[in-house]
Amino acid sequence: MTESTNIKPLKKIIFFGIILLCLFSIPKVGLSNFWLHLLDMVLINAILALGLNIVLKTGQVSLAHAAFFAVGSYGSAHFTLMLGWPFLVALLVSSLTCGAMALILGRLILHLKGVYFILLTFAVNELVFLLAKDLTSITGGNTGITGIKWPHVPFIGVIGNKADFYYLALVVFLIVFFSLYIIYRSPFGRAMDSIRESESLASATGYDPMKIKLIAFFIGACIAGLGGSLFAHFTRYIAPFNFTFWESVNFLIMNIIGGAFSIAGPVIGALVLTPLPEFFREYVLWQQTLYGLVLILFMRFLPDGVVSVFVTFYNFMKRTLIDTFQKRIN
Amino acid sequence: MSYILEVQSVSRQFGGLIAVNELSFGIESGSIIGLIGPNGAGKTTLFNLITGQIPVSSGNILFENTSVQRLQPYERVKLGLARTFQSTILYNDSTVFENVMRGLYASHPPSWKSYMTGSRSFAEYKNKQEMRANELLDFVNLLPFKNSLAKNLAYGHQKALGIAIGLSSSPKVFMLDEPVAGMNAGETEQISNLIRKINRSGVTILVVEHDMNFVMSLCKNIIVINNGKKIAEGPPTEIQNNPDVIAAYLGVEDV
Repeated sequence: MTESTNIKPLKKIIFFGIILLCLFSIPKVGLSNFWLHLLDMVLINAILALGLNIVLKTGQVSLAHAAFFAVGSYGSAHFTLMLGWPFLVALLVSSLTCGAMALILGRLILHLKGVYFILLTFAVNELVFLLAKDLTSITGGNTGITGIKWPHVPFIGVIGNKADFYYLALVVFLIVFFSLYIIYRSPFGRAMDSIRESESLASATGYDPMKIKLIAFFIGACIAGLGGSLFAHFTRYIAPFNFTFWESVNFLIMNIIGGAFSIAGPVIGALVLTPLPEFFREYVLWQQTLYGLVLILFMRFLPDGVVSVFVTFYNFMKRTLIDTFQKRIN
Repeated sequence: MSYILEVQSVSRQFGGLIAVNELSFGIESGSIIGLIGPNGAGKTTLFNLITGQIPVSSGNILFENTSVQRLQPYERVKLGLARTFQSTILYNDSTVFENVMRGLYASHPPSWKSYMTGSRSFAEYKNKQEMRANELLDFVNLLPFKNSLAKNLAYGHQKALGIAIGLSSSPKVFMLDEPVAGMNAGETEQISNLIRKINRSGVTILVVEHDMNFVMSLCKNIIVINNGKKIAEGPPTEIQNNPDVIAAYLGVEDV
């Protein structure tokens, strides 16, 4: 990752500018609804996977991410349908609700490490899933909540189709992405890296591990809430099966396939993983088995994810180019 | 006489086992104190009690006359009570320089406001810490290895890096847990000199070690513990001739 920091700021701005331009012009190409749907889902999944990424960054593997996703979705659906709140308010409040839940939950479970933390977050996810199924009066039980409205944004109006929704999701995605980018490069990013690499050393040098993990968990949950709210207003129908334990595993796999310790990782993971079920509809029974296999292969052969391939390739090209250049001079 | 660090009848039980039993001692500012004892005597437990990795069952720990036994490890570090680890614990996947920077950022955190506003005071802060990191690495002779990964260092260098990270918090009392375990005579001598150098800069040293020659030549005062109790305290020559100490290490002859 050290290589990317060597790129000059101006080059970086141009690089990001071109990417932004491409991102914003995608719906103008005239894609079919199928592709637009996929793109929107990629963005929503990327937001959610980024939310998990900051938790992973502190060394905690959480399987409760779909629980926050669910709270964000149900929250936003309720705030708009029952209470009649505007979409943006519902988006923010459901995100903060997830954050508040993370603060309470985090206090209780964040001191656990490794497999104990994984097991407890798994249990939390199941709990929320079962609540979504059984609290029929609030969640509609297995039938879920239907008739959620397309989002209405002030000054722009109702975002009523997949192309428009793409822009909304893209804006939220970019806000999340760049916020994390700034956080990761701040002293707090250094603190999170320290905690992940050695919690005992970090606490022996003056970092408060609990505080740092709690803040990261809070931010991760808030981001999951944003993703959940977007998801609810995009599909306009939510039901408990959207928020199973497998969904948490999906976000984890996105991080691992893309590369959990780079901010581009979860985004690439979402880009790779979201379309797969659409193209392999016939094999849907095999999906979890395949994911398991892919996960094992990645952990074994490419622990730093797809991003590491790009970084290695970039470094290799740079070195060979410099070498050949120097040979020319000599 | 007032002590910079004072342990007052501290006990720690693990279930039925009393690892540290009513132990008391005091350390004068500026001294080098050795803590020795046979295997399983409770040295590392005592060490962890003082730094806060494990809580005391009873008793008081006073640092500069304020009681610290209820504080978390990171809070004690900020007061000036730093440590190194017995097994070298480092940020293995980071560079040597980054290892020390993390120590500096942890113990002297920048203000959020200065970072968020991108003000000049943050740039100054950053420069200051980078300079300090270079100084510390120079102090432990690791400057040539600044950019290598911590895990790729030789064992002796890893120990030295552990010391540099410990020093990054500018401690008043520096506690070293077996700093020369597994080292050869030459490396031991280097660490010994390093510890003297740290002491000369005004830092009080408490060192736990098995290597007798190292402890005897380095420390002005030695505390011997066995079965969680203090059995002797005094200068090296006195300790060497103390019958209780000899009995603890060699066993008592049956008559």
